[in-house]
Amino acid sequence: MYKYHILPHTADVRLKVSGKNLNELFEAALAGMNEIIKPGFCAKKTKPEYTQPVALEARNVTELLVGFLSEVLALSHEKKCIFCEVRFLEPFWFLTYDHQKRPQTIKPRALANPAGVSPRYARPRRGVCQLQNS
Amino acid sequence: MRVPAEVFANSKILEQVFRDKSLEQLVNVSTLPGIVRAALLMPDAHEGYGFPIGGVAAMDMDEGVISPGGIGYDINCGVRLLVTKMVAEEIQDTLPDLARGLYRMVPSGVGASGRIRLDDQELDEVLKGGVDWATAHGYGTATDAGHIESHGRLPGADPAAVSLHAKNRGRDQLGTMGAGNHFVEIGKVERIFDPEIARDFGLFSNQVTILIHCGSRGLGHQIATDYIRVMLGKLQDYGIDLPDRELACAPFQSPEGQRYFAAMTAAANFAWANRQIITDEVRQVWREVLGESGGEISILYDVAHNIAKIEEHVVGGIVKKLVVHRKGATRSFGPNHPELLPIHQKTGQPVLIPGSMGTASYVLAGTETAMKMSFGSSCHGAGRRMSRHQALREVSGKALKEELGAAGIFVETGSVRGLAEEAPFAYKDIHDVVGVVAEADLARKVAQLKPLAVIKG
Repeated sequence: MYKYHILPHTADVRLKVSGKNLNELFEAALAGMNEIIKPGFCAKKTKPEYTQPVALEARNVTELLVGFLSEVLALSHEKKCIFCEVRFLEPFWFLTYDHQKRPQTIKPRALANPAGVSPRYARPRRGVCQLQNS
Repeated sequence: MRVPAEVFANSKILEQVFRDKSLEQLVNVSTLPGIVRAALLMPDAHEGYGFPIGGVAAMDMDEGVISPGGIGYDINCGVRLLVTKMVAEEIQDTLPDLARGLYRMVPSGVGASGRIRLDDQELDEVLKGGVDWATAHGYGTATDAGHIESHGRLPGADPAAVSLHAKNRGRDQLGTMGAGNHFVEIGKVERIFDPEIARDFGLFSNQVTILIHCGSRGLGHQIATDYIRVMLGKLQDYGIDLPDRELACAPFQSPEGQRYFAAMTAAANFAWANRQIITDEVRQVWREVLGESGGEISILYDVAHNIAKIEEHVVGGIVKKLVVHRKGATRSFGPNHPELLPIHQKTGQPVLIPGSMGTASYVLAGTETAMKMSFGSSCHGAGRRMSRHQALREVSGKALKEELGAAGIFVETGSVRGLAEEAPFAYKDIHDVVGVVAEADLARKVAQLKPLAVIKG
């Protein structure tokens, strides 16, 4: 079982996640976020229908985790789906996801600019933790 | 702390504010570079992302910073009040039809799509044009913009500063409400405190009103996400040392600060267009259900309560240009302010404060005192006092719907769980909150609204 706890927060939601290594930590965070977005959905899913490659870079692990969750959240909203699993395939990260009710019409594609900002700002600096690249 | 932290509260509210991190967050805000006079907290305060909700912080335009956390993830979340020519008794029999019609017409829920899907060029036009885009495309009348804060369009929006993710999240969301505490509410004028200003605002006893609460949807959320990341990466370069990473910021005049401001402005325009499209949806339902006898629906006012604006205020006897961050705080400009619409020059601007579902909402008017004490700001709502988790533990959505029904409030919602999270007891007492605002003269009470039907995401 993934280790996450949804904690009280007056305005929003707060998530506490733990894992023995970075992979477990990220998996637990993804599971926790999905449980907030659509409770119970991933527990009853059948098989993944698409994979979505994601390339991320960050200055440290905290930013990498926040960036990872932000990226998945954005993709969930754009593609109207929940990504239930993450596989770490060096040098790629692959996400898999199930459809929600409606038929999928958008083809998965690589994101030209995954951070959503100018590459000038996204360029890693000191203490780089970088997981990419296509 | 570079400046003092000031809280507007009574003893009961203060006791509630002490329960979360609101005050700690306010003290953190007071350390930000370029902040002037004081970091302020309104009586609807509670813990937020970096900045507390109910927070107001004004930064020197040349020496200060801009912080996405001081504006919030839902950029230009705000409230619009529509007024009808009908009284409550006239819609009593058709209220369920109106509520069901609104629920059908105004899509709600996390990530909900609307009927409009914008291509790249159209979306850029919305980001630049705000309400003007909507009215030019037939969603409303030419006079609507004249009843909206900043005419529903801020200059300086740059679609090129908005990421592809943000555009993709927003391109099918115009005319949608979202989830959480967003709503469309049919109500009536239950009490009038200031007959003269009420008359000037177009309010009368028992009048049917419609309140809309929503913002810039996924587009605004993504812009906040994008630029918090950008600014975190530049803190060291600008020598900014923060007590909390959630206060990520950049000098306002820096390339990052300017680019965020241009993107935030675009999101603000998107949010105003969104509330304009919802207004059009409300008008359609009104006509469908009531026909010609329903009469016209007009906009009383529309306020942004998550935004940063460049404004002039007197600080230490000198007029200064400031970047005023309002996060869960409503502009409350007093009479004769040059930025106000001509129709509000005598009264001060309308200040719209929605309460929780089962209680009441208020219409107030901005004051001169607010200009001196709070950079022309007031509270924005009742303000949560309880987490969503705790609210869910204390009531079921089904029981709450029945309880509200017994109190004469018709509820339509796509999520009974979401309904329970927004239970009235999860919020502070709106009468207490508005009481503090009125006593401090940050805004003057004009009228109180009572909910009749609530449509929630």
